[in-house]
Amino acid sequence: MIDRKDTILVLDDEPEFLDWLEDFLLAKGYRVLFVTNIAEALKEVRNYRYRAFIVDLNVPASGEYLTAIEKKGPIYSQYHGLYAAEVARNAGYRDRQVVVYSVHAVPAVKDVTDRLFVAYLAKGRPHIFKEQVMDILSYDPSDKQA
Amino acid sequence: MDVEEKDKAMNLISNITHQAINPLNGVIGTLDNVVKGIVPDEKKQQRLTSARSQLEYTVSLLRNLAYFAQYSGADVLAYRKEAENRKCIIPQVIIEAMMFFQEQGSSHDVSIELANPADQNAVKGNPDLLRQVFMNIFDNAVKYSKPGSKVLVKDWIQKRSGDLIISISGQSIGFDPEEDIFSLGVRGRKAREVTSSGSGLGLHICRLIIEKLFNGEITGYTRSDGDVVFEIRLPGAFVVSGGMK
Repeated sequence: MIDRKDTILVLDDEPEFLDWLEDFLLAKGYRVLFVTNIAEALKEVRNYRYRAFIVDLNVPASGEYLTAIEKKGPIYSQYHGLYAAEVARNAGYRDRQVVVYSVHAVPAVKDVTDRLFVAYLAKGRPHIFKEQVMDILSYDPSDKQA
Repeated sequence: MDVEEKDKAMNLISNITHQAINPLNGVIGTLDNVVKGIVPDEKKQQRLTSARSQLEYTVSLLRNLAYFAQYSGADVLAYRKEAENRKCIIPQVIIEAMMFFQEQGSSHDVSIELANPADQNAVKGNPDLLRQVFMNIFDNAVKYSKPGSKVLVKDWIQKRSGDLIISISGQSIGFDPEEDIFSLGVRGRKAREVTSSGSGLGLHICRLIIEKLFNGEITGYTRSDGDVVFEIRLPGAFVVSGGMK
Protein backbone atom coordinates (compact mmCIF):
# COMPACT_ATOMS: atom_id res chain seq x y z
CA MET A 1 0.00 0.00 0.00
CA ILE A 2 1.49 3.33 -1.09
CA ASP A 3 0.84 6.33 1.15
CA ARG A 4 -0.61 9.52 -0.33
CA LYS A 5 -0.80 11.59 2.81
CA ASP A 6 -1.14 14.87 1.00
CA THR A 7 -4.30 13.87 -0.86
CA ILE A 8 -7.96 13.40 0.07
CA LEU A 9 -9.87 10.86 -2.01
CA VAL A 10 -13.53 11.79 -2.58
CA LEU A 11 -16.10 9.36 -3.98
CA ASP A 12 -19.10 11.25 -5.36
CA ASP A 13 -20.87 10.83 -8.70
CA GLU A 14 -21.61 14.56 -8.95
CA PRO A 15 -18.24 16.25 -8.35
CA GLU A 16 -19.50 19.35 -10.17
CA PHE A 17 -21.44 20.15 -7.01
CA LEU A 18 -18.34 19.81 -4.81
CA ASP A 19 -16.15 22.66 -6.07
CA TRP A 20 -16.59 24.17 -2.62
CA LEU A 21 -15.13 21.11 -0.88
CA GLU A 22 -12.21 21.01 -3.28
CA ASP A 23 -11.48 24.73 -2.75
CA PHE A 24 -11.75 24.31 1.01
CA LEU A 25 -9.41 21.31 1.18
CA LEU A 26 -6.92 22.96 -1.20
CA ALA A 27 -6.91 26.01 1.09
CA LYS A 28 -6.09 23.71 4.00
CA GLY A 29 -3.09 22.33 2.12
CA TYR A 30 -4.50 19.07 0.76
CA ARG A 31 -4.79 17.84 -2.79
CA VAL A 32 -8.11 16.35 -3.84
CA LEU A 33 -8.81 13.40 -6.11
CA PHE A 34 -12.41 12.76 -7.18
CA VAL A 35 -13.69 9.36 -8.26
CA THR A 36 -17.25 8.90 -9.43
CA ASN A 37 -18.09 5.23 -8.99
CA ILE A 38 -17.43 2.26 -6.73
CA ALA A 39 -15.06 0.50 -9.13
CA GLU A 40 -12.73 3.51 -9.42
CA ALA A 41 -12.85 4.08 -5.67
CA LEU A 42 -11.95 0.51 -4.75
CA LYS A 43 -9.06 0.51 -7.20
CA GLU A 44 -7.66 3.56 -5.41
CA VAL A 45 -8.19 2.43 -1.80
CA ARG A 46 -6.73 -1.01 -2.49
CA ASN A 47 -3.54 0.47 -3.92
CA TYR A 48 -3.07 3.72 -2.03
CA ARG A 49 -3.67 4.99 1.45
CA TYR A 50 -4.93 8.55 1.12
CA ARG A 51 -4.97 10.97 4.02
CA ALA A 52 -8.72 10.46 4.12
CA PHE A 53 -11.41 8.79 2.07
CA ILE A 54 -14.64 10.82 1.92
CA VAL A 55 -17.58 8.87 0.56
CA ASP A 56 -21.01 9.90 -0.69
CA LEU A 57 -23.33 7.07 0.31
CA ASN A 58 -25.57 7.56 -2.70
CA VAL A 59 -23.29 6.50 -5.54
CA PRO A 60 -23.89 4.18 -8.48
CA ALA A 61 -22.55 0.65 -8.76
CA SER A 62 -22.76 -1.93 -11.52
CA GLY A 63 -21.69 -5.43 -12.48
CA GLU A 64 -19.74 -7.47 -9.95
CA TYR A 65 -19.77 -4.61 -7.44
CA LEU A 66 -23.53 -4.30 -7.52
CA THR A 67 -23.84 -8.05 -6.99
CA ALA A 68 -21.44 -7.92 -4.03
CA ILE A 69 -23.29 -4.94 -2.56
CA GLU A 70 -26.70 -6.55 -2.87
CA LYS A 71 -25.41 -9.60 -1.01
CA LYS A 72 -24.66 -7.33 1.95
CA GLY A 73 -28.34 -6.56 2.49
CA PRO A 74 -30.88 -3.77 2.01
CA ILE A 75 -28.98 -0.94 3.72
CA TYR A 76 -25.91 -1.52 1.57
CA SER A 77 -28.16 -1.87 -1.50
CA GLN A 78 -29.69 1.51 -0.79
CA TYR A 79 -26.45 3.22 0.23
CA HIS A 80 -23.72 1.78 -2.00
CA GLY A 81 -21.06 3.98 -0.45
CA LEU A 82 -21.14 1.85 2.70
CA TYR A 83 -19.53 -0.94 0.72
CA ALA A 84 -16.68 1.31 -0.38
CA ALA A 85 -16.17 2.43 3.23
CA GLU A 86 -16.08 -1.17 4.43
CA VAL A 87 -13.58 -2.21 1.75
CA ALA A 88 -11.37 0.74 2.71
CA ARG A 89 -11.47 -0.27 6.38
CA ASN A 90 -10.59 -3.85 5.46
CA ALA A 91 -7.76 -2.55 3.25
CA GLY A 92 -6.12 -0.88 6.24
CA TYR A 93 -7.72 2.55 6.44
CA ARG A 94 -8.04 3.65 10.06
CA ASP A 95 -11.31 4.81 11.58
CA ARG A 96 -10.61 8.54 11.30
CA GLN A 97 -9.51 8.14 7.70
CA VAL A 98 -12.92 7.13 6.38
CA VAL A 99 -15.81 9.61 6.34
CA VAL A 100 -19.21 8.87 4.81
CA TYR A 101 -22.01 11.33 4.15
CA SER A 102 -25.57 11.49 2.94
CA VAL A 103 -28.14 14.22 2.35
CA HIS A 104 -29.57 13.67 5.80
CA ALA A 105 -28.74 11.40 8.73
CA VAL A 106 -30.34 7.95 8.54
CA PRO A 107 -30.44 5.91 11.78
CA ALA A 108 -30.05 2.56 9.99
CA VAL A 109 -26.91 3.87 8.28
CA LYS A 110 -25.57 5.07 11.63
CA ASP A 111 -25.80 1.51 12.95
CA VAL A 112 -23.53 0.33 10.12
CA THR A 113 -21.08 3.23 10.38
CA ASP A 114 -20.81 2.65 14.14
CA ARG A 115 -20.00 -0.99 13.47
CA LEU A 116 -17.38 -0.01 10.88
CA PHE A 117 -16.00 2.77 13.11
CA VAL A 118 -16.21 5.37 10.37
CA ALA A 119 -17.42 8.96 10.70
CA TYR A 120 -20.91 9.71 9.39
CA LEU A 121 -21.87 13.26 8.38
CA ALA A 122 -24.97 14.87 6.89
CA LYS A 123 -24.10 17.35 4.16
CA GLY A 124 -27.00 19.77 4.44
CA ARG A 125 -24.88 22.61 5.83
CA PRO A 126 -21.50 22.96 4.17
CA HIS A 127 -19.92 25.15 6.87
CA ILE A 128 -20.73 22.53 9.52
CA PHE A 129 -19.57 19.79 7.18
CA LYS A 130 -16.26 21.61 6.69
CA GLU A 131 -15.79 22.02 10.45
CA GLN A 132 -16.47 18.34 10.97
CA VAL A 133 -14.07 17.33 8.21
CA MET A 134 -11.34 19.54 9.69
CA ASP A 135 -11.98 18.06 13.14
CA ILE A 136 -11.50 14.60 11.66
CA LEU A 137 -8.40 15.66 9.74
CA SER A 138 -6.89 17.32 12.83
CA TYR A 139 -5.63 13.93 13.92
CA ASP A 140 -3.64 11.72 11.57
CA PRO A 141 -3.95 8.07 12.58
CA SER A 142 -1.87 6.77 9.64
CA ASP A 143 1.20 5.84 11.63
CA LYS A 144 -0.51 4.91 14.90
CA GLN A 145 -0.78 1.33 16.04
CA ALA A 146 -4.23 -0.31 16.09
CA MET B 1 -53.17 5.07 -2.04
CA ASP B 2 -51.98 1.44 -1.72
CA VAL B 3 -48.64 0.39 -0.27
CA GLU B 4 -46.92 0.13 -3.65
CA GLU B 5 -48.10 3.56 -4.73
CA LYS B 6 -47.05 5.00 -1.40
CA ASP B 7 -43.57 3.47 -1.77
CA LYS B 8 -43.31 4.94 -5.28
CA ALA B 9 -44.38 8.35 -4.05
CA MET B 10 -41.90 8.26 -1.17
CA ASN B 11 -39.15 7.15 -3.52
CA LEU B 12 -39.97 9.99 -5.91
CA ILE B 13 -39.93 12.55 -3.11
CA SER B 14 -36.64 11.17 -1.83
CA ASN B 15 -35.07 11.35 -5.33
CA ILE B 16 -36.30 14.89 -5.90
CA THR B 17 -35.08 16.00 -2.49
CA HIS B 18 -31.67 14.51 -3.18
CA GLN B 19 -31.52 16.15 -6.58
CA ALA B 20 -32.46 19.55 -5.19
CA ILE B 21 -30.23 19.50 -2.11
CA ASN B 22 -27.04 18.62 -3.99
CA PRO B 23 -26.86 21.76 -6.16
CA LEU B 24 -28.16 23.98 -3.36
CA ASN B 25 -25.50 22.55 -1.09
CA GLY B 26 -22.96 23.37 -3.79
CA VAL B 27 -24.12 26.99 -3.93
CA ILE B 28 -24.08 27.41 -0.16
CA GLY B 29 -20.63 25.86 0.08
CA THR B 30 -19.28 28.13 -2.68
CA LEU B 31 -20.77 31.27 -1.14
CA ASP B 32 -19.40 30.28 2.26
CA ASN B 33 -15.93 29.91 0.72
CA VAL B 34 -16.20 33.29 -1.04
CA VAL B 35 -17.34 35.03 2.16
CA LYS B 36 -14.45 33.48 4.08
CA GLY B 37 -11.91 34.41 1.40
CA ILE B 38 -11.03 30.81 0.62
CA VAL B 39 -11.53 31.00 -3.16
CA PRO B 40 -8.52 32.45 -5.01
CA ASP B 41 -9.33 35.57 -7.05
CA GLU B 42 -8.60 33.84 -10.35
CA LYS B 43 -11.21 31.18 -9.58
CA LYS B 44 -13.98 33.38 -8.21
CA GLN B 45 -15.65 34.15 -11.53
CA GLN B 46 -15.83 30.50 -12.53
CA ARG B 47 -17.08 29.40 -9.11
CA LEU B 48 -19.83 32.03 -9.03
CA THR B 49 -20.88 31.23 -12.60
CA SER B 50 -21.06 27.59 -11.64
CA ALA B 51 -23.11 28.44 -8.53
CA ARG B 52 -25.56 30.42 -10.65
CA SER B 53 -25.88 27.45 -13.00
CA GLN B 54 -26.60 25.17 -10.01
CA LEU B 55 -29.35 27.50 -8.83
CA GLU B 56 -30.90 27.60 -12.30
CA TYR B 57 -30.77 23.82 -12.37
CA THR B 58 -32.65 23.65 -9.09
CA VAL B 59 -35.28 26.10 -10.31
CA SER B 60 -35.78 23.94 -13.38
CA LEU B 61 -36.33 20.91 -11.16
CA LEU B 62 -38.87 22.79 -9.08
CA ARG B 63 -40.57 24.04 -12.23
CA ASN B 64 -41.08 20.40 -13.22
CA LEU B 65 -42.84 19.86 -9.92
CA ALA B 66 -45.01 22.92 -10.49
CA TYR B 67 -45.98 21.74 -13.99
CA PHE B 68 -46.72 18.30 -12.62
CA ALA B 69 -49.01 19.77 -9.98
CA GLN B 70 -50.68 22.08 -12.49
CA TYR B 71 -51.27 19.79 -15.43
CA SER B 72 -51.16 16.12 -14.38
CA GLY B 73 -54.78 15.87 -13.32
CA ALA B 74 -56.30 19.07 -14.60
CA ASP B 75 -58.71 19.69 -17.41
CA VAL B 76 -56.44 21.20 -20.04
CA LEU B 77 -59.07 22.71 -22.32
CA ALA B 78 -58.49 26.14 -20.80
CA TYR B 79 -54.77 25.78 -21.45
CA ARG B 80 -55.33 24.78 -25.08
CA LYS B 81 -57.66 27.71 -25.63
CA GLU B 82 -55.09 30.14 -24.22
CA ALA B 83 -52.33 28.47 -26.24
CA GLU B 84 -54.18 29.18 -29.49
CA ASN B 85 -52.96 32.76 -29.22
CA ARG B 86 -49.32 31.89 -28.60
CA LYS B 87 -46.61 30.40 -30.73
CA CYS B 88 -43.39 28.50 -30.17
CA ILE B 89 -40.70 29.39 -32.69
CA ILE B 90 -38.75 26.18 -32.52
CA PRO B 91 -35.12 27.34 -33.06
CA GLN B 92 -35.62 30.09 -30.49
CA VAL B 93 -37.03 27.70 -27.88
CA ILE B 94 -34.33 25.10 -28.53
CA ILE B 95 -31.47 27.63 -28.40
CA GLU B 96 -32.77 29.07 -25.12
CA ALA B 97 -32.82 25.56 -23.65
CA MET B 98 -29.35 24.82 -25.05
CA MET B 99 -27.89 27.96 -23.46
CA PHE B 100 -29.05 26.75 -20.08
CA PHE B 101 -26.75 23.74 -20.38
CA GLN B 102 -23.56 25.50 -21.50
CA GLU B 103 -21.90 25.24 -18.09
CA GLN B 104 -23.02 21.70 -17.37
CA GLY B 105 -22.22 20.54 -20.90
CA SER B 106 -18.76 22.02 -20.64
CA SER B 107 -18.02 20.23 -17.36
CA HIS B 108 -19.22 16.91 -18.85
CA ASP B 109 -17.47 17.60 -22.20
CA VAL B 110 -20.76 17.23 -24.09
CA SER B 111 -21.95 19.75 -26.69
CA ILE B 112 -25.45 20.34 -28.04
CA GLU B 113 -25.92 21.49 -31.64
CA LEU B 114 -29.02 22.58 -33.52
CA ALA B 115 -28.57 21.45 -37.12
CA ASN B 116 -30.90 23.99 -38.76
CA PRO B 117 -31.18 27.16 -36.68
CA ALA B 118 -32.31 29.27 -39.65
CA ASP B 119 -35.50 27.25 -40.23
CA GLN B 120 -38.24 29.21 -38.49
CA ASN B 121 -40.55 26.28 -37.89
CA ALA B 122 -43.24 26.88 -35.30
CA VAL B 123 -46.29 25.46 -33.55
CA LYS B 124 -49.00 27.04 -31.44
CA GLY B 125 -48.58 26.75 -27.68
CA ASN B 126 -46.80 28.12 -24.65
CA PRO B 127 -43.05 28.36 -25.38
CA ASP B 128 -42.17 28.15 -21.68
CA LEU B 129 -43.63 24.67 -21.54
CA LEU B 130 -41.91 23.50 -24.70
CA ARG B 131 -38.62 24.95 -23.47
CA GLN B 132 -39.00 22.87 -20.31
CA VAL B 133 -39.36 19.74 -22.47
CA PHE B 134 -36.07 20.45 -24.23
CA MET B 135 -34.38 21.34 -20.96
CA ASN B 136 -35.40 18.00 -19.46
CA ILE B 137 -34.16 16.08 -22.50
CA PHE B 138 -30.89 18.05 -22.66
CA ASP B 139 -30.41 17.48 -18.92
CA ASN B 140 -30.54 13.74 -19.54
CA ALA B 141 -28.39 14.02 -22.64
CA VAL B 142 -25.64 15.93 -20.84
CA LYS B 143 -25.79 13.64 -17.83
CA TYR B 144 -25.64 10.37 -19.76
CA SER B 145 -23.75 11.16 -23.00
CA LYS B 146 -20.24 9.96 -23.61
CA PRO B 147 -17.65 12.65 -22.86
CA GLY B 148 -16.49 14.33 -26.05
CA SER B 149 -19.73 13.54 -27.87
CA LYS B 150 -22.29 15.81 -29.50
CA VAL B 151 -26.06 15.90 -29.05
CA LEU B 152 -27.63 16.74 -32.42
CA VAL B 153 -31.04 18.42 -32.64
CA LYS B 154 -32.91 18.56 -35.94
CA ASP B 155 -36.43 19.68 -36.76
CA TRP B 156 -38.52 19.61 -39.91
CA ILE B 157 -42.11 19.77 -41.06
CA GLN B 158 -43.37 16.51 -42.48
CA LYS B 159 -45.11 17.33 -45.78
CA ARG B 160 -47.60 14.46 -45.63
CA SER B 161 -48.97 15.21 -42.15
CA GLY B 162 -48.04 18.84 -41.57
CA ASP B 163 -46.55 17.71 -38.24
CA LEU B 164 -43.38 19.16 -36.84
CA ILE B 165 -40.82 16.45 -36.08
CA ILE B 166 -37.96 17.18 -33.68
CA SER B 167 -35.19 14.63 -33.31
CA ILE B 168 -32.60 14.75 -30.52
CA SER B 169 -29.87 12.14 -30.85
CA GLY B 170 -26.51 11.34 -29.34
CA GLN B 171 -24.09 8.76 -28.02
CA SER B 172 -25.71 8.22 -24.69
CA ILE B 173 -26.49 5.51 -22.16
CA GLY B 174 -29.34 3.56 -23.68
CA PHE B 175 -32.40 1.97 -22.16
CA ASP B 176 -34.15 -1.35 -22.61
CA PRO B 177 -37.24 -1.36 -24.87
CA GLU B 178 -39.40 -2.74 -22.05
CA GLU B 179 -38.56 0.18 -19.77
CA ASP B 180 -41.24 2.87 -19.86
CA ILE B 181 -38.85 5.72 -19.20
CA PHE B 182 -41.64 8.30 -19.56
CA SER B 183 -43.55 6.91 -16.57
CA LEU B 184 -43.50 8.81 -13.33
CA GLY B 185 -40.61 7.79 -11.06
CA VAL B 186 -39.00 5.45 -13.59
CA ARG B 187 -35.26 5.59 -14.16
CA GLY B 188 -33.59 3.25 -16.65
CA ARG B 189 -31.45 0.48 -15.22
CA LYS B 190 -28.34 1.59 -17.12
CA ALA B 191 -28.88 5.19 -16.04
CA ARG B 192 -29.02 4.12 -12.40
CA GLU B 193 -25.69 2.37 -12.87
CA VAL B 194 -24.06 5.57 -14.08
CA THR B 195 -25.36 8.11 -11.60
CA SER B 196 -27.54 8.25 -8.53
CA SER B 197 -28.80 11.64 -9.67
CA GLY B 198 -32.21 11.61 -11.31
CA SER B 199 -35.75 11.92 -10.10
CA GLY B 200 -37.76 10.02 -12.70
CA LEU B 201 -39.80 13.18 -13.12
CA GLY B 202 -38.21 15.01 -16.08
CA LEU B 203 -39.19 12.67 -18.91
CA HIS B 204 -42.63 12.20 -17.38
CA ILE B 205 -43.14 15.95 -17.56
CA CYS B 206 -42.01 15.86 -21.19
CA ARG B 207 -44.74 13.36 -22.01
CA LEU B 208 -47.30 15.26 -19.99
CA ILE B 209 -46.59 18.51 -21.82
CA ILE B 210 -46.24 17.03 -25.31
CA GLU B 211 -49.23 14.70 -25.20
CA LYS B 212 -51.65 16.54 -22.99
CA LEU B 213 -50.95 20.17 -23.82
CA PHE B 214 -49.55 20.04 -27.35
CA ASN B 215 -51.59 17.04 -28.47
CA GLY B 216 -48.39 15.47 -29.79
CA GLU B 217 -46.25 12.41 -29.22
CA ILE B 218 -42.84 11.74 -27.72
CA THR B 219 -40.87 8.55 -28.13
CA GLY B 220 -37.40 7.38 -27.21
CA TYR B 221 -35.38 4.47 -28.55
CA THR B 222 -31.87 3.18 -29.03
CA ARG B 223 -30.83 3.08 -32.69
CA SER B 224 -28.94 0.13 -34.20
CA ASP B 225 -25.74 2.22 -34.21
CA GLY B 226 -26.10 2.65 -30.43
CA ASP B 227 -27.22 6.28 -30.52
CA VAL B 228 -30.13 7.21 -28.29
CA VAL B 229 -32.88 9.15 -30.04
CA PHE B 230 -35.78 11.14 -28.67
CA GLU B 231 -38.39 12.11 -31.24
CA ILE B 232 -41.16 14.63 -30.71
CA ARG B 233 -44.10 15.00 -33.10
CA LEU B 234 -46.25 18.11 -32.83
CA PRO B 235 -49.33 18.69 -35.01
CA GLY B 236 -50.23 21.91 -36.78
CA ALA B 237 -46.75 23.13 -37.70
CA PHE B 238 -46.16 26.27 -39.72
CA VAL B 239 -43.30 28.54 -40.78
CA VAL B 240 -43.21 32.03 -39.36
CA SER B 241 -42.84 34.91 -41.78
CA GLY B 242 -39.26 35.86 -42.53
CA GLY B 243 -38.21 32.24 -42.19
CA MET B 244 -36.11 30.38 -44.72
CA LYS B 245 -38.91 28.12 -45.98
